[in-house]
Amino acid sequence: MKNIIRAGSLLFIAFSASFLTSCDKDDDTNPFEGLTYQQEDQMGRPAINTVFVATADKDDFNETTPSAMSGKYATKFQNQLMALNAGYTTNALGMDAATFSGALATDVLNVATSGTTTFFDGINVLTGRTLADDVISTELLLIFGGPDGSANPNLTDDNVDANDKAFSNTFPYLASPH
Amino acid sequence: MKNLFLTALAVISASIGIVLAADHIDAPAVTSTSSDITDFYAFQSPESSSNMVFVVNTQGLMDPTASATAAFDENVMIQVNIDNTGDFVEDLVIQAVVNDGKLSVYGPVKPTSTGLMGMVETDATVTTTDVTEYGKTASIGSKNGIKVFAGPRDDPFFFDLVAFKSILAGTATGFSNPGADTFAGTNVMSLVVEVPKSMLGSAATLNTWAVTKRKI
Amino acid sequence: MYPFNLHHLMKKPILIAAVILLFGGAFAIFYSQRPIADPADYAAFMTPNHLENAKEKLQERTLFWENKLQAAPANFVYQSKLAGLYASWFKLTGDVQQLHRSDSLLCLVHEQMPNQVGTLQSMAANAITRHAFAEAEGYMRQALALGENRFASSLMLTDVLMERGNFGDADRLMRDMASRTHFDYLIREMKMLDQEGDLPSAIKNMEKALALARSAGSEELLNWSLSNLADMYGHDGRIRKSYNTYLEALRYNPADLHSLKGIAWVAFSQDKNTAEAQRILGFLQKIHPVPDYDLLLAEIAEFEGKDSESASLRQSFTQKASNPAYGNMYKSYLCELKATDVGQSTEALAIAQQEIKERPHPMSYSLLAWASLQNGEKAAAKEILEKYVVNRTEEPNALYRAGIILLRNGERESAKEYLESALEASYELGPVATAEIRQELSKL
Repeated sequence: MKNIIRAGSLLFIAFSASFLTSCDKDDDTNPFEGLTYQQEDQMGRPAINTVFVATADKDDFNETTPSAMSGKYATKFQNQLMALNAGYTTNALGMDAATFSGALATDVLNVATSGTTTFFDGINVLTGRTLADDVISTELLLIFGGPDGSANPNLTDDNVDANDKAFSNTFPYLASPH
Repeated sequence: MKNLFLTALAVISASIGIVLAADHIDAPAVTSTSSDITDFYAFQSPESSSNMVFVVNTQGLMDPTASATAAFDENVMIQVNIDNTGDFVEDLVIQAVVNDGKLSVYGPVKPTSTGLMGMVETDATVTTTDVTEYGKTASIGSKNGIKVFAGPRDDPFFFDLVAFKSILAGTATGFSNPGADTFAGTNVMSLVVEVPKSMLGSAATLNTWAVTKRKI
Repeated sequence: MYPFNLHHLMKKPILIAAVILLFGGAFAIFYSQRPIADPADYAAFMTPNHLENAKEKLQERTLFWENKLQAAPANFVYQSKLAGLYASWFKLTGDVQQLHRSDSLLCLVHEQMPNQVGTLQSMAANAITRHAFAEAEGYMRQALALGENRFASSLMLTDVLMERGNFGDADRLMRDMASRTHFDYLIREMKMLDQEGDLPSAIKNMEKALALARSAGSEELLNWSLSNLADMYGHDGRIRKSYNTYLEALRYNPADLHSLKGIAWVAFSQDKNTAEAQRILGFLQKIHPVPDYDLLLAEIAEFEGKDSESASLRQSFTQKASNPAYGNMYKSYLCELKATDVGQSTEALAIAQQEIKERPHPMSYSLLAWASLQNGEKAAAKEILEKYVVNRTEEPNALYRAGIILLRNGERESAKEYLESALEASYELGPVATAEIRQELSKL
């Protein structure tokens, strides 16, 4: 009986050897070819989803393409803005509640193709987002700071102004992991 | 930071009730968090003003020990969408996929279809490199002026999340000074792609956003 | 694993037919006689080092977050992180105090930030671990109503509903889910199919999930998928495949105690190699002091005819598992043990009735019927059986109990049917129950 088993095993080895060749061929084809992918998450500007989208809407917002966001969410964003800051009139960008909410509801990150790219550097506004930008304080300022940024001083800066590790000036720019 | 309330829910377990001889095994209840985007950045390259850099971070709040064994979910594609016509529909995409620890970045390329479903644009220019392992020198792939990187990095985000959430929840009335950076000392899984601006069209302003898509 | 895959084999049907004809019979005879569990295959995993390494890593992680929390004692993000880590500690060491620590932290988070879906999901996960299914259902219904991350909440609520025997609602939730190709969905569908008694389809689903774990490149998911699939092959009577799959699971996580326990069961139930099974279980008990192993060792001792040793192991299990810190975790096992222990069947009945409240699953009713029978209430046992168990579960243990209950009620024909069905899962039920079933059947 032992001999029969061995013969059987040998046969299997022969099989697997011939299959290896055909597998090699498969390796040349692109493993991603012809596969369908379905969206699970999306993000434009920092913290917008957290601040302006109600818990019950979060899943839907993640599945709404930006071109449909404003129509669906501008009013809801405006309601949330007024709930956060009932005294909102305009902000440092001169935007009234409807204009500001409408702009935020389309959650994309605008980036300029020439010149400085920054979320806010004192001069340029929303022309991109760099690693060092204090984006949360900028958003807080626009939400709570009033027309000249001086309103609600205890709400307009989280007092964390920089990263705990320095960024690099060379690719890939982010600091090595802790 | 988008998902500002990351919990301990990386892989939580639930009793699955499969019994083998008075025994049961616990199942991972939720594994989909590997596709959660923590942050998205778009900026002019510090190395060259004719290049644009995109950063997409996933898997937030990783401690150093967890970072050493962290990996990209190879069923998930990370995609940067770029609208250069002002209609908030992607005209170009940059797609990053990982297979066997090797990163492939396709594009920028006009996508075959736009929206929630999609395919990897396998006919586009592909820039590849190995996913950088924790503690190793960054592995950078380059082709036609495109540079790519993927691997664990320090989380560049800084923010007093706890104070912020407390204000939103109405349990605090303001920030404290100094604030406390909730993310100090933690890492994320980063994708960094640098492309010549000439590949992104001629618009003065681009509308960009990052998405993750899972293979179905 | 076999050095070829089925897909390729299908291309050469004639050759395969020839192989089967020539060698199939010989293989069958040879394999059925040869023991499956070979200590050399898993010697590399029979060392405490793998578990120690896992503990060291978890310790590093715990220290990292504990240090951060110490600097900011009210930080609910760090509290959440630590809650997850302490739940992992419980899984790794079996120290139930760690689970309570996790719960306390989640409680603090929940107090500071109520209505957070993530917190509720974590609280539910812990409640499920504690077998507090009614509590878990409450958290998950709350999480689902809040709306964020509905997919994950639906999956977890499905888990709880199935434990609570509410298969209708579980099925409705499953139908509403969008991502039907997702790993997390597939394993719920697998559970549902298994519950319905469709093991072949359940296995196919689990194999699909395994393929996803492979392409995701996650060792954690691969380990879990393989270990679970190995259990399922065992249910299906494919013991060699089950054994090989446990070995593969261990390669992805050498600290996978569940798979080692599975191998111990192969050594005992299939090979009848009690010494090897005891060696593995003894090792597991030493590095992972939870009550569970005593129960298995008691069964092995009973099989060996060492009745007093078996009794003392049962007592040891009962004593450890009755620790109030375990809450509901071991209630069904305790009930089963007490049901057949002289003078304790009344207590067993009380536990079973309590268990029904927490977990009105057909298996809990099966246990209630069983405890009623042992308590001398054979008519009540039969009534419970017919009302809540029959056609609601295909678990071999339930089939076995049903057979005995019907027999005691004088329904020899149906009793025979049930006992014969149970006997088909002889490997899963183990040699002791198998011998009992054979003995009962011989009288019919």
